[in-house]
Amino acid sequence: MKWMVLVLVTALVLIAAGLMFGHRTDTDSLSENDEAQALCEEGTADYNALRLHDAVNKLGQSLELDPALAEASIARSLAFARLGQTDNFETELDRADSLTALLTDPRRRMLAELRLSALSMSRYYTMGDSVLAALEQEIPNNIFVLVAKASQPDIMTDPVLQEKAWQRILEVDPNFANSYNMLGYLELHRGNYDQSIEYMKKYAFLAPDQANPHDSMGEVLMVMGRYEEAEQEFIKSVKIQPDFYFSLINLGSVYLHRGQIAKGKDILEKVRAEVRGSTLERQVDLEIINAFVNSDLDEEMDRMAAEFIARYPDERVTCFYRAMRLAAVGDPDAGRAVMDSCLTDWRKDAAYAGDANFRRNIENAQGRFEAISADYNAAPAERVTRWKKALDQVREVYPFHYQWFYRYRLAKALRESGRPDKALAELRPMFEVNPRQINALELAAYCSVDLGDRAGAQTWLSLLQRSLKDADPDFYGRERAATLATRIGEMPTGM
Amino acid sequence: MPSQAPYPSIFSRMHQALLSRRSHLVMGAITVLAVVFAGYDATRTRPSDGTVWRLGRDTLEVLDTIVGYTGPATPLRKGDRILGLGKAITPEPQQAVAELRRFRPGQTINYLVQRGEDQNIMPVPLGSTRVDLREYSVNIILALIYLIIGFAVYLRSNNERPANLFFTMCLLFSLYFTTNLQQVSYFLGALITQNIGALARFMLPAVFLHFFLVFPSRKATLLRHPFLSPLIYLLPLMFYMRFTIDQFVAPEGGRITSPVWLVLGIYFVLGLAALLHGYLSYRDPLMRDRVRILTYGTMLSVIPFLVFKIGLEELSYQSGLARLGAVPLAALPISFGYCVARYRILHIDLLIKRNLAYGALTIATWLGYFAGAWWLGSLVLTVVPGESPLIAAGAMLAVAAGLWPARLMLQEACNRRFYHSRDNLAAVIGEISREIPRHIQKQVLLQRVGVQLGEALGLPSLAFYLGGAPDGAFDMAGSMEEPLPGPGYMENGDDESPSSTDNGQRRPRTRYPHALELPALTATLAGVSEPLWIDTVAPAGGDDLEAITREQALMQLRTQEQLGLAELGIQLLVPMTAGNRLVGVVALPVRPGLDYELHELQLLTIVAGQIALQIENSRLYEEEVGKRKMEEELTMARRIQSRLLPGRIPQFDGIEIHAVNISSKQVSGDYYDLIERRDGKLALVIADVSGKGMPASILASNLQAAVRAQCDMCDSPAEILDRINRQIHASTDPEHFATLFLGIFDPGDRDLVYCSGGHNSPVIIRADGTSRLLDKGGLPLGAFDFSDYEEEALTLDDGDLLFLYTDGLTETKGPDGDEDFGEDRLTSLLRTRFGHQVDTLIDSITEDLAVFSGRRDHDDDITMIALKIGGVAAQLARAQGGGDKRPPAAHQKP
Repeated sequence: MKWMVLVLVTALVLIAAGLMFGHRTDTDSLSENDEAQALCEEGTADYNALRLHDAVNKLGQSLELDPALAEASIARSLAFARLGQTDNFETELDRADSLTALLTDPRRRMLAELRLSALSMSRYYTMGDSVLAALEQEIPNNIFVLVAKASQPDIMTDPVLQEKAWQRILEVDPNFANSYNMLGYLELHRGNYDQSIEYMKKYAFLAPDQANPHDSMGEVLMVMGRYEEAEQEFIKSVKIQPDFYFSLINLGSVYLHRGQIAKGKDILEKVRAEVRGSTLERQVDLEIINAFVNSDLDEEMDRMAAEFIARYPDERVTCFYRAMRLAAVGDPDAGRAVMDSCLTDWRKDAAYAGDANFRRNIENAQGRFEAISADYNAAPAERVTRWKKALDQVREVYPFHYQWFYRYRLAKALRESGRPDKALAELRPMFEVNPRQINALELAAYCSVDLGDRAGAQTWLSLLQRSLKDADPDFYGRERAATLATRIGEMPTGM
Repeated sequence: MPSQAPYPSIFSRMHQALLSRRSHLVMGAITVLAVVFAGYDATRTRPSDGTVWRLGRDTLEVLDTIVGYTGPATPLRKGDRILGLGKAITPEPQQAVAELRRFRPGQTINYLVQRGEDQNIMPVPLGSTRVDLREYSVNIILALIYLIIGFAVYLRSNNERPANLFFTMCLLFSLYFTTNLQQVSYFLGALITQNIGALARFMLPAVFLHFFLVFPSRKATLLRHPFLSPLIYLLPLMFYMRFTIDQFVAPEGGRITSPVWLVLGIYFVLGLAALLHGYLSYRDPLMRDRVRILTYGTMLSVIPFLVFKIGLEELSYQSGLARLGAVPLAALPISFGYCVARYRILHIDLLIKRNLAYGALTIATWLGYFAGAWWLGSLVLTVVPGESPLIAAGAMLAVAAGLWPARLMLQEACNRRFYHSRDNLAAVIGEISREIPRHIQKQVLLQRVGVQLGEALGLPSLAFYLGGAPDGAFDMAGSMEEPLPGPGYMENGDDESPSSTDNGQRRPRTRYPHALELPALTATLAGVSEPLWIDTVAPAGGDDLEAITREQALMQLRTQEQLGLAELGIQLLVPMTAGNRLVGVVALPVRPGLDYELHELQLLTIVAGQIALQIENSRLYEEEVGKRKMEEELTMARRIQSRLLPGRIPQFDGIEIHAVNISSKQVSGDYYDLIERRDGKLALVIADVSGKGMPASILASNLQAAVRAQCDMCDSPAEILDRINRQIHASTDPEHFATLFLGIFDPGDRDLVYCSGGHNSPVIIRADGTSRLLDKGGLPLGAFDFSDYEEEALTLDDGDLLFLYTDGLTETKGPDGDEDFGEDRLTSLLRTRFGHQVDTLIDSITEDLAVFSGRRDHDDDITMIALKIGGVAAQLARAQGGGDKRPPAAHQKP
């Protein structure tokens, strides 16, 4: 009898302790139909892991079993959005909005509203902040609350807070795939490329049937100059989702970086043709221009910029392109006038005062224009000054690989101003990350030639030649590499 | 003087608990569960990636690929860190296990693997952990054989060390066969099975060795050094601890390495050597024959096991021939089972189905309990909010506790059905009932039953008193004084010192006096035949009550007796009654904190009755033995006495002589003798020795020898008797004596010289009808060392009758016992039948005696001698021309 009493008391103490200290789970009953609820939970997990097709199927089955299950509908609409199935998305979103309005449990309803507030087409789009504030108090560890919080602008602009937020999400759900994507980019921007690859691999592992993880992985690999691996990732991505145009653009960029200009341009042109008339066209054009800029393909860039100006005359970036083209044709003052006029307008924008990022981008655009304009019209010393200023403007705010364009142009100016050693100092860190940048390698080799460092020049030349191994036969870089080789060959040995 | 430690040490208690029958049965039940679980686990189809994982870390690392894995080749390598598998990132091993279980063997899934600096996503084909069922079925059969024979042997054994060890060995063998030591470490079931299997593998050799060190005979080394027994287990236990720790910390995980297998193999070899030694050291061919079969069986089974199973499979990982090592192992339990049934080795009687059924029911009860607790617990968890493990544990605990009484009820029902629990009334009665008839000696009976009762009721002491006569006197016949473990019973060795009880109170120890005087309670005990509760509260004013009536006096006396018993610490008297006769009582002590329960009183009543019957049987048996012994003595005495009598009656012309000796049942030492002296005279001897039976016969024998020796050497009867008196007195106790009449008769002169040593005086009936007694002589022979014997000489005339007899004749009682046959009646008869021949005369007297007493047998020996001068026969001879040489004349010597 004593034993019995002792055991029962112990059991009661344990239950009480569990109720008091145990975490309250969020898996409250969503549906009277257990199977529908189970399918909803599995589908949502699939969505979080970006197994979008599985998610759509399971959530659809769940809704068949319980047509009033708002959570299933919300997750399904989000999945459709990710998949780019616009019609399905809109239909499902309508249903999700309606079902959410019918929810009687306040917390459940707020959670649904929070999730829908991420979609601009939802009627709850504007409710995100208020609902999030309320739910943060009540269920701070809920995965949807954490995701909404991580997506807040003040966190998105602070890498430290951003990392903390996405790591917290992973603590709650280690299979929340987008966290790895976000953390991977965060590390990429910090210059932690290996770490970034690890995150991206986890992202790709969780969602092997999605295009985006491969695209993200390809991006990191491309930055690191691992073009062949990047090419495979982009191909995988495109195979999974043929209309994932950003992977196609990245694939074209890879070819451009390798000197396969025809192939690269062909892909980019095809992408342009594909997206023509769609909402994606503008973004794709910008990406292509950037690709030409980064590959130092001035002619292609100029042509694309001209087309962009014609197509989007009122775009903010059009102003920049217009000013740049004026400077390029030898009329820097006209170009500056255009730029100043645009800057005056931009500075009047309310966002300029309230958004530091916006303000920084505007000022950076001016610095970049001045530097590019100087390239066309000013002496080397002046160019050095302008590019240094432009670089300084972005040095602390742009990821390192975003700075490479500035560094290259600065190095070029430095060499032409008779300071090849300084030029090399700017270039070397770039090669530590990506030793396959054709134009930069050529410049580095010439710097070594200028410095009389034949061995160094030979080293750079070797890297250059290796980078050109897949380049088109008529790629300009090949001829320039041959010229460089002759030049190095003429250098006296033993200097 | 320091008192002895009143309580057994905690280690001693633990040791006793470990060796107790209950703990063995629990161990057996757990083993059966483990075997069932291992069998279920091994035959389940679960996915396996062909690798062994490191346990107990945050990260998941591939320790090795599985040896002998039959699934598809795995791309995983030793040292790979598994970051995710299937569709999930798995920061913890158990998450990986849960994820892996979602897939089926045959599928190929992605693994996210860190190999060196690189992370790789690699497709891994999944195999199955399921064992080969055909191979495994052999193991299952072997395990069942071991389990069945192990349980059968154990349940029939008497908790003796060899039987316990054999049982343990069987359990370990069954675990060895069913726990297929797969290296798959990521399923909880596999982990449990692996650890149980490892424990069996480590402990089996030690138990095997230990068993053959105590069986068939306990080795002298163990007797001299009892500490060696636990030492046997030290090394395997250390191995097992190392194995357990290695699972979590060692780079290669938990493994039984080759050196360890070698050591374990040596244990087996030593065990075999011990068995062989035991077998060969038997000089007794019968004993040797008994263990021959099991010796052969063990050798035939264990040697292939060592070669093929341990040598090839465990050491060399060649499992192809493992069956050759496994199958013969069936010979070990079968040979033991045969020897148990055939020769009753291990002191075990024949196997009985009931025990198997009991064991199966007990196991089923436990299984039902666990299943019920699990099911109800799961049901409770569905309605309890929250998913905290504390809640789950609490709910399970509560359900388990709630179901416990039901399990106990079922078990008790099972016990009642099978008479197996010591706590069970029927079981104890059954055991004691079996024990009682085995002991006919009272002391042994009471000692054994006392111990059993003490154990059954948890009593520290009790005592048996025998008696029950109306005077109320009881004498202690046995007590169980040794303290026995039991609920709340601990005693000091010192009578005077108080001892503590559970509740901390001090109370005097129960004392049992050597004798009890209970004249008042005896009547009550004899009347009720039920336990008598000793009432410690005296009736109000009882002591002061003046006994007015007999009943009041009796009540007062009864109260006093009860108070006296209470002061001794006696709480209960249980009468031992056979028929209506009170044979004795069982005195039981006060139970602190507890009362005797009804079923215990029932038990005591029944057992006391059985003891009483057995004591009665014992008494009758003792009487029977005594009687038989006496019969044997009497037969011997009768034989001795018959040899004392003369083989023939001497013949003299003109003289009729006849003699007869009628022995009583008691053989009381009469004898007569007719000795023909060298000078032609006849010595007439009749004697009656004091006492009966063998002592009387021996004295008669001595007497006869002395008379015969003296008879030829001396003519004076008085002198002869004097000599014999001194001789007998010197060689026997004073209470042993004899009456003897000696007459020396000259057939020619018809002179008779006689002397009587205290014997009945012979009678002479003269031809003229007168009679006289021959009463000269002295004291009986041997009574005193001094005596003055007087003799007389006389001459018998023609026609005179001399009649000698012993007191058995004249002291024979009539039918009513008031009247003796008497000398007057004898003399009268002799007179009236004077003309008869002597043999006819004696026969007629014998007949008269029978008529007088009303029976043919006699309480005392009867001896008669009749001598007649010129009797009917002589007269006939004389008429035919013969005649007496001399005329009859009477001579009397001074």
